[in-house]
Amino acid sequence: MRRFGTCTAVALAALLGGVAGAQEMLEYAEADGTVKTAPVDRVNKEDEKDFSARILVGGRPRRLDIPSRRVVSFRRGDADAENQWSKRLATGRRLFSTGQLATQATPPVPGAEETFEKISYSMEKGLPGEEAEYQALPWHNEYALFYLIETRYQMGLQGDKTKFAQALASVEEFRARSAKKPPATIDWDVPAEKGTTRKAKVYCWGDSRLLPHVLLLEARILAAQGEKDKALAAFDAVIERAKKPESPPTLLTEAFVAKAEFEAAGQPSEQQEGIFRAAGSTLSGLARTQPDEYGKQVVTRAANRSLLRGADLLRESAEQQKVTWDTPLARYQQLQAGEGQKDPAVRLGAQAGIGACLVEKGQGETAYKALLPVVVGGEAEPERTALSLYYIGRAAKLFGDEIDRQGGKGDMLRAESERWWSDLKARYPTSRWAEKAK
Amino acid sequence: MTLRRIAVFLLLAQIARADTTEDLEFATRLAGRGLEEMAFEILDKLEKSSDPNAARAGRYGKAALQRGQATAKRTRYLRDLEEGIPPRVTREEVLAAYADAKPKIEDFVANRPDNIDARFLLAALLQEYAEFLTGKDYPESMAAQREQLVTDNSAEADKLFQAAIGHYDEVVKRMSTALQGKDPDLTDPSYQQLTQAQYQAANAALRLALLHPKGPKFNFNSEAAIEKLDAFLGEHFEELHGAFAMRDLGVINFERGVRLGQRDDMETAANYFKELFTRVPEDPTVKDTSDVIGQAFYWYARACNALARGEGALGKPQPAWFDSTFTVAAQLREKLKIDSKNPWALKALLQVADAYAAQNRLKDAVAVAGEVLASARTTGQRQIGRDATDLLTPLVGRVADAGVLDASLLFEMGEALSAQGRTANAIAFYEKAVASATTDEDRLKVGYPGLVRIAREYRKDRRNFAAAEVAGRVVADYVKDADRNELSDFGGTAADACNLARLAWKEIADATKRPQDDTEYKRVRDLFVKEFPGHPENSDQAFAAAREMLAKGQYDEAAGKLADIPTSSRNYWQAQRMVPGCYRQLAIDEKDPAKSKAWHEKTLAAAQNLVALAAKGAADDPQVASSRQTGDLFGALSLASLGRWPEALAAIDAYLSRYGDPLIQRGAEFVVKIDAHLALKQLPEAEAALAAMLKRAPPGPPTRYASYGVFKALFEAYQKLEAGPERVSMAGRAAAILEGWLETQKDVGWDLRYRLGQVLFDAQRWGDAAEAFEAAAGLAPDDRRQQLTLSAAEAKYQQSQTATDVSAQDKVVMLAKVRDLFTDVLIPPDPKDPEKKEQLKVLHALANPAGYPTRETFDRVKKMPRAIYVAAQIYAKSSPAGIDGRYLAIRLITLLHEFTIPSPQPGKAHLDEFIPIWWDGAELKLRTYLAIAQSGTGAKEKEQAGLGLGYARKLSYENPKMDGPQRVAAVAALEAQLKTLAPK
Repeated sequence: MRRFGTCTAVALAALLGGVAGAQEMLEYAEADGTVKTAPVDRVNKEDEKDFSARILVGGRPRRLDIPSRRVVSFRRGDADAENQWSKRLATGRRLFSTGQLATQATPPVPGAEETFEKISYSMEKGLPGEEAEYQALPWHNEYALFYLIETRYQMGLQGDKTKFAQALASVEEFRARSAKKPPATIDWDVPAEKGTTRKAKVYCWGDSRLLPHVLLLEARILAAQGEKDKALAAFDAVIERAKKPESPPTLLTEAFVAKAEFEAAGQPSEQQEGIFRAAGSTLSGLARTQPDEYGKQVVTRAANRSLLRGADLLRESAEQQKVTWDTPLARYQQLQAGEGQKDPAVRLGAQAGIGACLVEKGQGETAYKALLPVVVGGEAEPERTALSLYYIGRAAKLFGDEIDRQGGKGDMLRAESERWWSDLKARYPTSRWAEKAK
Repeated sequence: MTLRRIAVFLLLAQIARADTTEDLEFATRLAGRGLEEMAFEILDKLEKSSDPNAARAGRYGKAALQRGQATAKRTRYLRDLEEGIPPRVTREEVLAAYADAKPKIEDFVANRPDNIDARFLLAALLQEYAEFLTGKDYPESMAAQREQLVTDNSAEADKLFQAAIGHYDEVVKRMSTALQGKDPDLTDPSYQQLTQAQYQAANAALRLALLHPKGPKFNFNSEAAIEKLDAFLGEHFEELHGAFAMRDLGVINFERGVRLGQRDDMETAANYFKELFTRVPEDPTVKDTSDVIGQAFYWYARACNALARGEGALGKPQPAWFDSTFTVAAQLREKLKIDSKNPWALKALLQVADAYAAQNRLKDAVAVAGEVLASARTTGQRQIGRDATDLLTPLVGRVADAGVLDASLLFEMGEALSAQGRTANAIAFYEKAVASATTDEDRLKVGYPGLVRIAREYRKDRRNFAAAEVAGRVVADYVKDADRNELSDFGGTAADACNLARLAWKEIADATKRPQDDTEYKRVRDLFVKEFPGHPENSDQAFAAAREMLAKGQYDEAAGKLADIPTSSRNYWQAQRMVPGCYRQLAIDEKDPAKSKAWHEKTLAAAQNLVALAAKGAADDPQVASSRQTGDLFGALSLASLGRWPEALAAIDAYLSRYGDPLIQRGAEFVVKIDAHLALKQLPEAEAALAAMLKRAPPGPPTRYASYGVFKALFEAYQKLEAGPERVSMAGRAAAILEGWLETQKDVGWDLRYRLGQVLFDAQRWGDAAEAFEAAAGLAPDDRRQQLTLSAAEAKYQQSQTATDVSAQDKVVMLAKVRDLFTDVLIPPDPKDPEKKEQLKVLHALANPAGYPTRETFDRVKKMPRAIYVAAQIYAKSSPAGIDGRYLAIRLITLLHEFTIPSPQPGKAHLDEFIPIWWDGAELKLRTYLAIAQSGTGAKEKEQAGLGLGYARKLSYENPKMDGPQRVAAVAALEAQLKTLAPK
């Protein structure tokens, strides 16, 4: 799978996957940036602007009214709900997270796609007295359609390219059903038996909190199809939308990063670095315009990640011997002195990068001491930790030799080297760094 | 008695009934008592008998024991495999034990086909042998090896199983015949044995079936097993064995499902297991059915998961079956009330967790697997702990929802992995735990301790820079806190972290030998001392300093330092216990009585303070209890040293009744009690206390001291008593104590042995006294040797006189020896001593009847030592019936009584005890005169009669009162007889 696809797959899994089971969990941010999680008992209102719900805090219900931009994630579908459609949504999410996307033919076992598709078009009312249990509500359709798009996109990434087109068609459908002040229902071509369609009434839900995310998905799908211009335009459209103060900052950052990834794909490392540096710089500027601290934090973090990504790409260039190690070293040091002062992830990333560059330059002790906080901190991302474990193993040997030259005894450090690499292989066996540590 | 031993006992008893020989019965009894080696010897002997039946019985008996041993070895081997430790016995040893026993038992059964027990034993052995050959009950982690064992040994195992089934069937046939017509009675051992045999036959059929992979043999044998099990179940549905059969039916159907893809069979299996755990029967012969229930749940979950996944030949997964697995956890808890020790219940829960994980219900999977992990860790079930950890490890990586990642569970997993030696994974989980600990509470409970664990792991792995780095973070956070408190939980964690960092830097500095590393070590060390003075490592230094002071004799300073050790120190209580001892030592060393007394007072105060401190401590803390005891003891010691005897006695009595063994002062506790009793003139109580002390305290200075003290008191006491039984008894007790005391002494001198001799003599233990005197004589200087030897001789003389089991003739012989001893001592063959020469002359003169000594001679005789008088007695009694020796004695005695007046004059005190002897002598003289007068009718005889008559009258007139009316009568009678014979 391409790296691009991997990232989106991870993001999708995070969106759809996680815990499938009882209760609908809401992750939201306070204005000051604190992120909290709470189970949702009932949603009062949910549109692109506002989100209102009754949540449970310490088991006790509390009303929550926040702008929708501060909803970090909200997974709908409850396996223990009374309502069948809510249960099925949860089933669909579970199937998605276990990779059962397509329907199994023999014996016929519905996959995530079929499950979501059915929910997307259901208008069942239920018998009198049984509405709570059997009635399909517009939000069921809304979320199911969103998840359906996700699923088809994923299926496309896994090889079934026809699913991209289906996903795009679903995007159009979502747009139509999300139109502002729509009628309660509209006519639509809904799937029928044996791959045919038929006209049927479908719910409209109007203003949807999910629409911007659907639009981002659209851009990703176009990118996955290789439709460069369309994809870039789509990304730009999302970015513009996301710049509005009421838009979620995560939408802005995801769009920026996705666009940068798309633009950088296939380019030489130095150019890739430029793309990410530009994205980072732009995001840094946009962070200042965020209406709240939460937004500032999210966008700044994304900006820093982009900058760090750029530096990593310079390191890869040095690995390919296209530049000297001084180039990425200087960039990492710049980041450490700048953004790294406030952003721990950048600090660690920069430190790991500095350590790697110093090792390549033959400097043992300084490299070792730069890498040590990264490997023992437990906070770095897996890839960065794997890299750091590889380099600290090398640095330990160099350090040991340096100690000998200083008149001391470096045996202890040299003996450490193998143990760091042993950690690397145990914890990240499939990483390229584990492969190098032989 | 173990079940195995009972079985051997019964079997050997069976043989004994059939072939009764003394040896066999004896071997039976020995085996029943667990003395198998001895039983083997007996059976070995029996085997070598010329009687073929006896020889066979011996062989069989040995084989029965060997089979028991094989089973024990197998159990040990499998347990070690399960624990993951090198097995204490080898697989070959186990197989050899089975292989050795098998032919012997087969031979016996062939010759004794009617012996049901033997046949049953054989069948069981064959089945066990086959099962072990093919790796049954090997742990799951060795599944690959087990498969290989099956492949390598299936042919042989097949034969063994077939043979086992055949023998079981034969047992069933014979027993059924025997029990025909009787109602089944679960409590009847015969019925139990029949049921057991029937079940085992079916179970062996199952094992046989499982031996073979998919194919005709498996098909055939599995169907045969099902048939047997069905038949058994039909008859024994309500019994526990029925439950076993149901379980086995489930297992065989399970295997048919997996191997042959028979989905129906798998579903049948699931149904059997479900049926099993809903209705495990109440079997009156079995108390605990939780194992069966646990197995039922486990297999049910297994079957459901297998169907859900489409395991083996089942092919297509049917995820809906996972829903059935999910129900297991709740039902299991309901049925077993979650018995966390039941390994099957835990395994069942792991199946449930696996099902949850397969369905991406990660929160539930993590919760259940975490529960299993916690239970397995607390109950020491290592394999299950490893399985739970293995299941959890990848799950954690998949979980995106922070709410599922309970920081405590992650920490627990880190602990489990650390205990399993999986350092890298342990660190990873501790890191996750730290990352998940986002609340203040979690940071304190899990976050910081997690960092300390990580540091520890690195240090264990000798990555000291890493250890110092991680530990340093905890310390940095602690030091930043303006309100930091060493005694808080966080303070404790930070202290441990700082100590770890210190140790890590020490190792770095020692390893690299770089000045900058040494500087960093010192910085961390100083920080540790400054921030965490109460840490055990730090207070260890204060404690060490106090001990140095003690070693230098600076007791007062040491006491102060010890008292200041903070309560948080691990040495706190030990330090407090040492304080009274410091003051007591000062008291003992102090020469000035007044100052010494002051130190004793201080000791008492310190002891009372220690008791008060202990009263505030935790009642269940052994350190607190020990401190209380020390305080009580030093209190009693101090009171004794201060001479406050009644208080000391009360205190020590309370102490001795409160505290059992061992005595912490090796008996000094009793010394206090004994000294108090002696001081209060309570001699019997002191004796009783000494007796108690000698039972409880080990030999040592306290027992020696106490023994001598009581002895001395007894000795002085009985000296003041009149002669009589009480004096003798007291002397006896004193002697016993002194003997005991002397046994503890090295190099006992002659004087102590002499003292012992004296006491023994006073106690009328003549033989022991003689021994003691002789021992003393052997060690004494020359001038005392004679006296000691004579004392020994006197004791022996007394012994000879009081001996009741010696004939009169032997007594004479004993006395002769003693007499010779005296003679040798008193009158050596060629005396150089002038006095001794003189004595010899006198004796010779006396021995000569023609001679009559002069007054001067008699004066010398009068001055002779007491031993001479004793010698005279001895001579009198030890000489043979002839006249010579006796005459000498008579002469000696009569001389003495003629020329001495028995009165208590100074210098003649030693004659007092001879008053009766003197009168004996006088009476003897008269009798001699009479004897000579009666021996004939000549002039000489008449002359002796006249002399005798004159002597008798002289006695009446000139001598003091006779020593009793009997003597008066005797002398009067003799006088009358002499008068008739004397010349008119």
